[in-house]
Amino acid sequence: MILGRGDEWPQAYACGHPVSFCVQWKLEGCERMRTKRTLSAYLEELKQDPAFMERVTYMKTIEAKEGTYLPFPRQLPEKLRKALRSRGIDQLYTHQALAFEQVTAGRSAVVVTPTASGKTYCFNLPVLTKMLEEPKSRALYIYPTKALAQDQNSELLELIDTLDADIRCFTYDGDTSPTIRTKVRTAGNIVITNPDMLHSGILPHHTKWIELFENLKYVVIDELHTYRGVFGSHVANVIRRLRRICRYYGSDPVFIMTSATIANPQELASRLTEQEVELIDQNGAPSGRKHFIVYQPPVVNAQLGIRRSATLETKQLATRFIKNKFQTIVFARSRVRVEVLLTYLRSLVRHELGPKSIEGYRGGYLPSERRQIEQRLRRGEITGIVSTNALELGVDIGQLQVCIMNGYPGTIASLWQQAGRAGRRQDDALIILVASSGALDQYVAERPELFLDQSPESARLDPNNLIIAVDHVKCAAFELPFKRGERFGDLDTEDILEYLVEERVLNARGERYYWMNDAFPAHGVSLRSSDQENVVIIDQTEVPNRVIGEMDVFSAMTLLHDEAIYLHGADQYQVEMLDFEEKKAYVRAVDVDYYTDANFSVELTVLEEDESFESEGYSVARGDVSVRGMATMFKKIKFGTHENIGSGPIHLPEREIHTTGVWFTLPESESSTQLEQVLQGVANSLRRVAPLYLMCDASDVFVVPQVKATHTRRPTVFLYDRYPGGVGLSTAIYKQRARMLSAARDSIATCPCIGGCPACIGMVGLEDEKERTIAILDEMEKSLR
Amino acid sequence: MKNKLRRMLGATGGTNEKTIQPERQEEWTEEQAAWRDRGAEILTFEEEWIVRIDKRFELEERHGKRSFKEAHDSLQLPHPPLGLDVPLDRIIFFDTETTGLKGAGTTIFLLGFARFEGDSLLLRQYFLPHPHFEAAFYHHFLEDIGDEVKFVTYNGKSFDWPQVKTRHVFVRDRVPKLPKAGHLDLLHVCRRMFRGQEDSFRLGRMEERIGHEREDDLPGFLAPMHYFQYVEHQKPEIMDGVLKHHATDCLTLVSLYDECNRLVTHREEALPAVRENIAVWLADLKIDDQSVSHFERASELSESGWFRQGLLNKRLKKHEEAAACFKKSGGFLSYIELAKYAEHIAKDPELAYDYTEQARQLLERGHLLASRKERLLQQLDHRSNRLKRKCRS
Repeated sequence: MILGRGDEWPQAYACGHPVSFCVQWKLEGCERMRTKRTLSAYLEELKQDPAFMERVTYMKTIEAKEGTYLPFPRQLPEKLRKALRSRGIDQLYTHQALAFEQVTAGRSAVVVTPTASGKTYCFNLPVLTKMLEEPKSRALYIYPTKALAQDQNSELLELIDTLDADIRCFTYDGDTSPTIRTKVRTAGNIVITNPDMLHSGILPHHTKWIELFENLKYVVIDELHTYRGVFGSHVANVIRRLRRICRYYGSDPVFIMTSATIANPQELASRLTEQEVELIDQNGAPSGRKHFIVYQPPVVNAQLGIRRSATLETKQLATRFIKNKFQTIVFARSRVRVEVLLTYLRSLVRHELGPKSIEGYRGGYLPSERRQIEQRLRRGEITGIVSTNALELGVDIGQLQVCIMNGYPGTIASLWQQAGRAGRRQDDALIILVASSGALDQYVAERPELFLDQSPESARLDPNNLIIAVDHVKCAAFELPFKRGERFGDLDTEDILEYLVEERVLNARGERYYWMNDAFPAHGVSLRSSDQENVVIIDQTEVPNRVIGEMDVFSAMTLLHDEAIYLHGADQYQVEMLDFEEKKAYVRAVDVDYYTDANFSVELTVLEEDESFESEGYSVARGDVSVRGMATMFKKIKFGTHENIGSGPIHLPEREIHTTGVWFTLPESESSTQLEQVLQGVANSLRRVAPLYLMCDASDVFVVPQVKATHTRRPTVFLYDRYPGGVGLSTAIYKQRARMLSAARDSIATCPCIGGCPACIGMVGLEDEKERTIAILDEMEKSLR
Repeated sequence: MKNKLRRMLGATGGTNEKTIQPERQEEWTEEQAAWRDRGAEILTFEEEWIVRIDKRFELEERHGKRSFKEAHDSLQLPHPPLGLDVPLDRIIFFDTETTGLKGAGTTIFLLGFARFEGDSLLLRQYFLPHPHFEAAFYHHFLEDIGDEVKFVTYNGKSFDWPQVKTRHVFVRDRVPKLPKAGHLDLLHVCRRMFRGQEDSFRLGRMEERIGHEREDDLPGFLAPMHYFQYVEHQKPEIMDGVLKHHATDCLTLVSLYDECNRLVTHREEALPAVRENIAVWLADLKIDDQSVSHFERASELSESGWFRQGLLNKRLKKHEEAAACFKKSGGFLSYIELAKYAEHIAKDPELAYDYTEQARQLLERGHLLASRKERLLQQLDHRSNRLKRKCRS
């Protein structure tokens, strides 16, 4: 029973609470007044609520799915069968059985299944089977983070405990104490580590790991989809080194990988390990009914197409579910937003559920805090959890009922990972995407079929990025001298080795290249921040100062120069000083009515054209480019009126990078009035949709429109890879240009603004820029598909 | 491709377009001849070769304050606890020079040892002219030393020997096994003996103790650079400084080993603090009789020194002496020991109670972690309650 507005108010409610106590949530009703409802029943109620339904632009129900099973494989040892039966498992899901079959036959495989489908059995069963058969054999597990490695370790130990076998399992990372390191090296059957430790702690010391490398049967790579872009390109090279060392010691391990849903798991897996990989995507795990809802906040500014804050809507929605005691997870895109939502939700339900019933979860919490929160989630002691994408990865928190995403999480793969957190076998699950005003959010919200029916993004990496590969050739040469003619993965090493000889890093003799340097090369190579030159943003408003973010150097030149107004979340900061040498920007919170806009002159020259396509006056090409950028001056622009209310110079040095790029060229005949704006619109929209197809951040791709480019002598839009040398994004853009062009067009067309706005074409349209941009993108798509 | 590399990564302008030439096997190469002219031997193995440099020292020669003869004679005496229980000529005073600090790619390019041989001291150095010849390097070294040797090193337990093991892995199929080295690391010995006396335990600092002073010594960290130079130019004189540095290190090991032995066996006067360190160390090693003699000869002891002597006496059942030591120590733990003594040996619960209360006062004044203090106080309460009961009965 819910008390409505028209109801007569009693002195005290039936629940026993006095009116003064219960009045604040009169619309939702008091928890004690009714017995707990199922989510499906509650959903039916919601459907009757016009205020709610008005905002719902899309609703889809994915029906429950029965599990599909296969009997235990013949080779599965009795001990393991017993252990499984003691956990109530007497048959396997299809994907688990298929993985077992492939892997035990000596074929590397990648398993793609959603969250909570028992994927760890896909590798633990074959690995433990091998250990029971051959006690000397070894396996190496690679997890992207230390925390995930710890989780897996406890899970494995639990399973091994029931096996009654002498199988030793350890984590090996920066936290492993020196006293047990020797034991791990010589006696660990299963070593669980991360790519960074493999790179700088294990491979360069391989002589201490002889027992491991001589007997290595399996390498497990969990969370495969995280190995993409620059990080993935590095890890692919670490795998090259791993396999090279294995060959030296006479082993040839089988790789077992698991991945979240991405478009190209098989391609990614075989690119990462450079071998043939079997794909297993026959998910046999059962799932309950899921309801998928896209929720649009109301438009508050029609001209600019701005909607009410998604965070505000998220708060209200989350409050509803939490008050009704549905276990709810809220995903927010930044740490700050997590804290904001957390504070708000806690204050709302403090009296009803107690503050401990709602928790936050994000990077920056202590590992012990996180472990505790995970446990309490599994036990159902927490009703609401607000998290960044930290909970996307395979941390075991049990299954929740409701998942609310505060804004599109950036990639379709993330979206499914987050959505996978909600879903129980017995009951319905509800997933709500609250769209923000951003054009990408709006585009996705208008086209939910994009993620519901179509395949998600492809993950890209390029192990042969020269800068990355050369770093790892150095590390590999330190580990083991290269032979003349030896290949490094599929990379021909001859020129690189000769170059390193010239640089006196190596010395050649008798068909071999010897390390000739006193450095420890792995220390100079970091897998994560390969672009090590990020500018750290330090807020000086309060003591002690705190770091509120970081930004790549190129962007920092236009967004963090002295006197710039830097927007972080909803807060304004003024940059007091940019220390470009030290890569630090000092900012202070301010409240002003203007923003700053810097002029950034970019000189982009094409170094080498690798491939091109031309049709009906339009053309597209890709190749190596050099980008030289310099920030020259900035303007202060007033909110609302967009008046220019001042300006100043920027004194920063010029920066140059060499990378790979794609460029689209328009026919010369394009008239030049508004041409600049239209090109800008094309560039902005392409950059915006890039993450949809490339599984990268919007900040990984940069755009430069040129009215008359030196290289083509025609109006041209360049897109280039932010990372020096490129990590395969431009090749991917070149190949998927047709889909990207049409998505770019649609993203502008679906924007609710009237003549163009900062969100769709990148500026407020004055004349018909919006239509012109749409028309040109349309032409481009037709000609260049 | 190479141009691309230069463009993207920058070039330092190396113009070394050398091609790899097959080794010529006619007589000596220029490089080998240069070494032979300096009195070195060229040793070959399969297709490889290395350099061995021998130098013999008359026992009359001095290194620091003593001659090698003094060291030699004194080392003939039995000398546990630094017990390398083999004849002196099987002890190898061993040191290496490497291209870096750690990792599989760090190569040892110079290793060698000093060793008493008949009536002289032999200094033998093996030099690796190129990493390509590592099999020859370890082959000759391991053949020469055989399996029956013990090593004396400085920091060899955590550096030199693990690095030898690492590099041995690369050639293990072609060369003899490593000896199961009995190994005395003088760094550990010096740390125990001179604890509190030195703020650094670099070998150079220890050399002051044996009265040796180096002239024109090449700092160890420059050794890799010289080696890289050598590999490029193959001129033996480039290695002169490194060879001398390494030779000095080996000789110093001989004298330092002797010095430590003399201190342990009372053949050298020692400061009371050093004596105390030695006595405590020997007590830890359960070499009680020698520990006692060091304690007895120390003219003064610290609070913890008296306490440790007390413990030693207690272990030897010399309770009266033990009690005397504990009294001189006067620390918290000593009062606890005194209380135990009074309660169980002297059978004087009242005295024991007094000691317990003195311990309590010390504890309350002391600066300890709160949780630890709490725990100790509980133990004290327990003890004093028991003693109170005993006094009453």
